[in-house]
Amino acid sequence: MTHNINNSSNSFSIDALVDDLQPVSPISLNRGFAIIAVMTLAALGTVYATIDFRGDVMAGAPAPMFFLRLGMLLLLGTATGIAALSMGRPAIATEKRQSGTIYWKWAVMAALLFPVSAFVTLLVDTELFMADFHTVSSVKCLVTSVTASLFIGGAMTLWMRRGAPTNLPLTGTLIGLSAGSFGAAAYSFHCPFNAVAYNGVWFPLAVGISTFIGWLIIPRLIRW
Amino acid sequence: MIADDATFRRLMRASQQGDKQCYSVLLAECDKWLRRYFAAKIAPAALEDLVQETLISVHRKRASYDPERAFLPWLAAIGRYRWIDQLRKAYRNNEAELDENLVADPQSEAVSAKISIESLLEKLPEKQAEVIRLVKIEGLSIAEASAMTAQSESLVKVNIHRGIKKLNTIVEE
Repeated sequence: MTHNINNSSNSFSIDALVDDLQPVSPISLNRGFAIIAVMTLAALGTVYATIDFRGDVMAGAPAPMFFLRLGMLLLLGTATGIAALSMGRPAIATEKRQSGTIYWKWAVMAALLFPVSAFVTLLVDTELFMADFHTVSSVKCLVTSVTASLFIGGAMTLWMRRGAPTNLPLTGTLIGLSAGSFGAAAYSFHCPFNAVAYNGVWFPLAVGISTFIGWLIIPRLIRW
Repeated sequence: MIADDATFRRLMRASQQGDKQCYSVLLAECDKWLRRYFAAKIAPAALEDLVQETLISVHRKRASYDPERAFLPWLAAIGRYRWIDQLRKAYRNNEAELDENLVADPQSEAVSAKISIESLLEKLPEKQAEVIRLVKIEGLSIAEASAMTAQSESLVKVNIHRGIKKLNTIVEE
């Protein structure tokens, strides 16, 4: 059976596509998650090897803020990571709603409690806020977190190039957000500061920079 | 008659494993389905190219189909992406030629693109359509669109957001 479709400008043949057919493995979300996990662990290993973990973590008795911060970053990274990787397997919006991949927004809203708390601290006690701000250390926080997120986001982008994302800006944004969260989570094992003023400003800023880079650059790399 | 989703799924699963006979049937069925899907959305002259481009995308991106899920939402998403991409390219690249083409050749691809976008925008409230035209198609900044339409910048953003959401719903119907 031959399928030829002709028009005035060119000739197109379904048979040519059939001839070109090779077996393919459907893209696997589990493989995508495994890539994120490996890259995050690699970032964590690099943090340990280069700038060491914070003292209370090494002593086996981390402060509550460490758990809150790490938990929130991992939750945010996972929720946005699931949504980002799911974008590689296209479906119309109804299908997406049914598969539950749109609920990452709730994780973002929960994470916003950190900067909101920092803002409240600023309003209530400006002096305390400024004392906990640590602007010199914050540069290390930003550079390390964003660098880690670039590697994680780069690996996610390579994975995504096999997929067929139909909303490129959102896909780029979600990859940036997820990579930024995991990158910051890796750095959080070193960061010694427990104050809300610090955690509510610099960590969200690092995640925000990664998200912006994702929104700006990744759509060009995954266009198909 | 066009195959149902279960048949599409079975054919695609076999195609992903390299079964050329199933793949040939699958592409022929996709061809029929896409013609019906696009028929109400674009001008007849643009249909052929769009169906072909979508079939090529189906071929290139076949690994992105999850065999555990329905096939037609996947095909519709691929088709919609190609359609919007074609409209955007045709509209932006040929904008300078559009006015002449409107008179000279009402069946050309660029004209079809413009007609398709305009017909979609006509379904939106005027304020939403106006700012989408200015910002998303003409490439103006939010501030420039705000100055031109006497809408505040935040209202421009809200109207673009609401308009695009409504367009998505229209496109999917």
